Amino acid sequence: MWYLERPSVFNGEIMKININGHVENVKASNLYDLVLEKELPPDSVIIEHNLKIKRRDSWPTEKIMENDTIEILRFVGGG
Amino acid sequence: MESGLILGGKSFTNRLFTGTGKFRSKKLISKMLEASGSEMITIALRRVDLTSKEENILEHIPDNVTLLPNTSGARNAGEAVRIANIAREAGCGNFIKIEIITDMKYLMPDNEETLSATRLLAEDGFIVLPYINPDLPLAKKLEEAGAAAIMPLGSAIGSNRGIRTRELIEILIDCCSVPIIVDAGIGKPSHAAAAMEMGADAVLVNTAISAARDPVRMGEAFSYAVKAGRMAFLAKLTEESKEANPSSPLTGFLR
Repeated sequence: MWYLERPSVFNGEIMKININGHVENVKASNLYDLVLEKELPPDSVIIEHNLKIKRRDSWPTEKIMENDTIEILRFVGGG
Repeated sequence: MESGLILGGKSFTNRLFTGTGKFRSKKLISKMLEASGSEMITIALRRVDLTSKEENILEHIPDNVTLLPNTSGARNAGEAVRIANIAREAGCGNFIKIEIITDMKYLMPDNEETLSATRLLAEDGFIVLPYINPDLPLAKKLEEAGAAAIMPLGSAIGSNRGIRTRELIEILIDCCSVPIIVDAGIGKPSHAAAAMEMGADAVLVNTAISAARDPVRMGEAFSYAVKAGRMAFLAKLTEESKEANPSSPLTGFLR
């Protein structure tokens, strides 16, 4: 499966972004690498990047920039 | 045989809708669905907890069961619309249960914000099921706004107190043209049967099933209750009276 590929090579930059309401430093430069960096199962999370939902197949090309706001979501039990 | 309940062009034979909240093991969800025959189940959207590994709830819901994402966590129409769009983008289909709550003690829905969200989402092609405090003028406005059904509460969410809003729900059943699905507060199969006997089109049950000691068996019990209540409604119940009405003849006694 595509998401088992290796993350792209770390270019040495660390960025400060807002993930799920917390400011964090990340190495990933795109959404796909971010999911790997956070050790999340790519097939069960949903990503909203600067208030736009990003489809799973676009994650490797969705660049992360300093101060971006990212929500990583999933479906849970609820009534 | 009776034709199914139509919602958003989809026919539902089973009038017991269920929820995925509070199951002690997610594995029980698919077993409960099988035992109850429920064809529609709610799910919620939340931020991933980046510090813990969680199970993917969708893995436990078979493809033939329709997903009903809710907007729980939304405090106003804007937040509900955002959640609905995320759920649709994530491939959950067009169904959405609008749940907008600011009152954290009784979890009463905000009817006004719910109406605004219904307007916006119905216009955008969603099949909208608003969760409301039963109120006829609001229900009529929701119908006009394009709601596919109306989900009045029986009592507070998770309270298991049954159909405390009975008379108000009866008014909705009498006057609304869209289906009425009683949601929240149904604590036992007899409550579900009572709602169906009143003429509700379906019920949504979560806590009473998921928090039971045996959720699989309880799901099955609810499915019988819903079927019995629906049949009784279709068969037309007899009138109540204060005095006795003998069922055996009062003549020809052997004395």
